Amino acid sequence: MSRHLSGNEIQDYLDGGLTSDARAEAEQHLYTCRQCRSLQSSLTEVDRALKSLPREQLDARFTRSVMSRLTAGQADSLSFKILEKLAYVFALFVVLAVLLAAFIFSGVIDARQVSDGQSRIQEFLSGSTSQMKSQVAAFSNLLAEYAPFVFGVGSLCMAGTIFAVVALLAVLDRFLVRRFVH
Amino acid sequence: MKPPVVRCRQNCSRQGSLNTEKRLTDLDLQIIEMVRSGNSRAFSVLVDRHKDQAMTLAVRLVGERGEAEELVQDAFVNAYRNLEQFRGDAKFSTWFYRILYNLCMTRVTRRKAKPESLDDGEENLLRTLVNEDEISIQERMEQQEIHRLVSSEVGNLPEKLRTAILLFYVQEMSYEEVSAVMNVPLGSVKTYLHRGRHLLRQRLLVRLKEEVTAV
Repeated sequence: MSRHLSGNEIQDYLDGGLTSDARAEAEQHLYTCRQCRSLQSSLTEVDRALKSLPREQLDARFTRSVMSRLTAGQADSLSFKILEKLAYVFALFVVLAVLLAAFIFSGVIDARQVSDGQSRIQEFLSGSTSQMKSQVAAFSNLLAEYAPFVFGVGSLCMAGTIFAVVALLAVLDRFLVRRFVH
Repeated sequence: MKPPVVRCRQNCSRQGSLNTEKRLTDLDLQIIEMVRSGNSRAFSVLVDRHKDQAMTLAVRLVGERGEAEELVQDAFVNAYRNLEQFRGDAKFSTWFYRILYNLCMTRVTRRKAKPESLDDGEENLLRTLVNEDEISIQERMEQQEIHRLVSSEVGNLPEKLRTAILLFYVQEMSYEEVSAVMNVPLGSVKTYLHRGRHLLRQRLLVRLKEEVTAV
């Protein structure tokens, strides 16, 4: 080989990327050419320096930190999953409460309508024992009087309870993860 | 006369550690299976195994230790959350470093208005400053000095060249793995490596010339 080797050819030679013929030819040239040998030595030195670049080190705190982020993420997602499932029930109760409130204030629902319902319930239960009948009658009387308010307030209470349960679960979730996982 | 004996990095040192590497890859896959089957704490083993290498890459890519640590954490969290997407047809490290590389690049790109080019201008300028044929680095510099300069100059390389160099030398990846992490063709990886090493050598020569002139 009369011409000098290029930097790329020498690097290929160092990386083992030449064919056996090209490699033999390059070796022959390197043996006779001081300039190319000098370039090869320089590239080898750069290669060596690159391989011995200082490595960073992270201690065990880093791993703990990553794992706490992962488990915190899991806790969040668990709460979110529960909330996601209960959200429909929660929304249903809220809608029901709003509807009832609207009906009550607009006068669509009044005690007479509920009273009709009461008599139908009594008819339905006419085959029961006398003690049970009197209990149902007492309950239905109560319903007749307070039904719209009971349903309205009940729905709101139910929605509030569901919300509180979800919030409690989320707090417990985090507490348990912190207390027992870390 | 016998030709000079030259150490062949790829054929010898890499192939020599092939079995060890395979064992380690298998271990990664075993850990991933454990995590997938519900043992999320096993992921900490994976973090322990890769955190130092990942940090080395991130520090060199973003240049600041605190920021790099935050990105490595994000990369592990992303990897964990997307573990289902890891099909296992590549090594975990290749998949993971791709996540980390993308995070680092997003951060670096956000910092500056336009992405860095391959710096042809500077390379040409360096060519005119040094006469490569006349100077041999190792004849004029102490080995420790070369290592110190290379270490500092790697950080000044254009991003793509720097990434290719780091993945190849520090993470000890093959051309194919570097190509997968950087999402560029194999030929580009070879070009980046050639140009990166060439640029490093030229910068060393410039430093050497400056020192000679100063004396």
